[in-house]
Amino acid sequence: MPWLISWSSRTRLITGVLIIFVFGNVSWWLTKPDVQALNLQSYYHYSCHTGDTRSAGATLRLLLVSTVQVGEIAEQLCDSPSVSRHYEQVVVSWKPRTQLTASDLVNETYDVIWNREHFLRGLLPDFERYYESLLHFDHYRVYWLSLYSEPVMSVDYFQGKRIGLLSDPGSHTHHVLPITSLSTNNIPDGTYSAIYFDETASLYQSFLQGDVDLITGGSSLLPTESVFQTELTDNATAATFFVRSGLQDPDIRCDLIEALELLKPLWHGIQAHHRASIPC
Amino acid sequence: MGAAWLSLSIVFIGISLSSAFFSISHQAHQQLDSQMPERLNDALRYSPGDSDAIANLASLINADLEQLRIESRVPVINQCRIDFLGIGDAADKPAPVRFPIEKLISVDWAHGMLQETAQFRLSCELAPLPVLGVHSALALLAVLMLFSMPASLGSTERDYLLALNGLGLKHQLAHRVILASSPLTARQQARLALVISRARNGQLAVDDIPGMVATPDTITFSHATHSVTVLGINIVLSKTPYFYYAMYAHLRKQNGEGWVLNPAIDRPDPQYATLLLDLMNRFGGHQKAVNDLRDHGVRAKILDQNRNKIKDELTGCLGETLACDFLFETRRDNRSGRHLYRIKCPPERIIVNT
Repeated sequence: MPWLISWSSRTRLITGVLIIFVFGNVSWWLTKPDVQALNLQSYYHYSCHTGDTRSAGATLRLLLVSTVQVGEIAEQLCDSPSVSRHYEQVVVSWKPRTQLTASDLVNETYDVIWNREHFLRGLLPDFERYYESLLHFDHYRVYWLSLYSEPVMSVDYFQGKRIGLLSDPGSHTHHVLPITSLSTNNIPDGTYSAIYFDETASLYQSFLQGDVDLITGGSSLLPTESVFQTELTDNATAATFFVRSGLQDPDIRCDLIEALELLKPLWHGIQAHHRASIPC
Repeated sequence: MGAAWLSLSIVFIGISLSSAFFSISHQAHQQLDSQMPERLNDALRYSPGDSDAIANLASLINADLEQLRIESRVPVINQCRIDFLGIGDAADKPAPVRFPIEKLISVDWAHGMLQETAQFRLSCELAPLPVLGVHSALALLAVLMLFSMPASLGSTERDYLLALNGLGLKHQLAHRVILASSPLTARQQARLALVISRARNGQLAVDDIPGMVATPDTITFSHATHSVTVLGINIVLSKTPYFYYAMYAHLRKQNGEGWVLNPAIDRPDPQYATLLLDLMNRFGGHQKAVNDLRDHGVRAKILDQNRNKIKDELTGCLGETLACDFLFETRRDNRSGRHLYRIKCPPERIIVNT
């Protein structure tokens, strides 16, 4: 390389810098890390182990629509002798009900599903081939609620009101019932403005902060003395706890009912019934 | 060289580790940003977000992100994990992170109508052996290359190099010649210029150039051929000037000073005549010159004439710059008012072959 032999000190310096630069790049190239795609699981479940290893991998799965007491329900089931005889693990899930699919029902993914009968029938008309009622409830009352004045089902009253609804079309209390009520009372769409929420916590928070004027709800949810309420219906269908038809062991069914009784405060004032064939 | 190796290794390790960690945290952040909000929203849809729910969430997320798979050609990061610290202000405030092994990552997302922030901590474990091995090897290679770079040349050096190269001398040889001649004083440049011009004229074979330049800077007198060899160049002088030149050389070597006082115009010098006659008789001087010396001794005028002839011949062959060392210097004798002459270069650079 003739130019190498006869180079000037500046060329020599530049070449030196270039050598360091090239090696620096090689070092970078050799060690350049690549983070493999994260494969995140879902985080809407609580699980516990029964301590039994004979029933390798068998899991008792419950699908609820609330996180109230999930830990206690799961732990109580894990502690139950009859459950641990058949299952290694108990998983209580609160997968958003909009994500429940027909294949979840056909494949019997869950042993217990808490949902409304008409919703499951909507997913799979013959869902009763796979699931049957474990615990069901009487109809309950739902109210129009306001912090400012007693709701009146008239166009005048609803004029300019902001109504808080859940965006989930499967929500009976916070979506289906209020829309039905507005329609049957001939209150047209343009009268009020609907504001949609993803979950009940924000809905109630906005209501209490005065960001929305009206919401619907059961009587037990808010202290009655500070809220004006007008009955919307006394005939609302409550969600039912369904159990997989294949899960016939009466001891386990009884354990399930006992564990779900922990949720009693949620159906305060509504009569619960369990399936007649269950002896507990 | 050891110090250069060490410091370059440290620089390489520093750059590569910090860029690797930066890249990992950037990629992790992107992936969390794209996937975590949906997962968190689903998990918190029916949940009031109390401490039990958050603890459950944390244990699920931590189990999920316990080990990030990181691939690189050389594994300098052993493994990384991400810990979920919490949501919003409720997040555990960990001790300040130790750069570059830990980093906090915040993921912003819309939870219903609320703007929430989830806090995560990325921590990585180094793979010390590959880190040291790869970077010290690379640094060693780089340092070896740096230290094997040929020395640089100034523009004058490069001009001569190109000239030598233009004559057909191989680059490496030419480079060696230039380095041997450095520093390029006026005299060294004159030597190179002379060599180049002689090679151009065909008086010197290209292959002999290196040897020529390496020749000691001496003058060699050969009485038998009445020639002098200066810087490897043989110059045959006319007989009579040669013997005068040889006399000066002889006297310069005989006593350290070697000054030769020019005789007075009317009083030739008999002492130098003896020396000259001896040389001329032994090595075939012109009979006419011998006779003249015997009859008249060394005369000032003849001495001056011969010095001038020597000067002309040497300057003609070597050029003034190179010749002047081997020519005469002069000083005035205060007592007589006459001039003293001697060969300029010190006696050790004068070689006399009898």
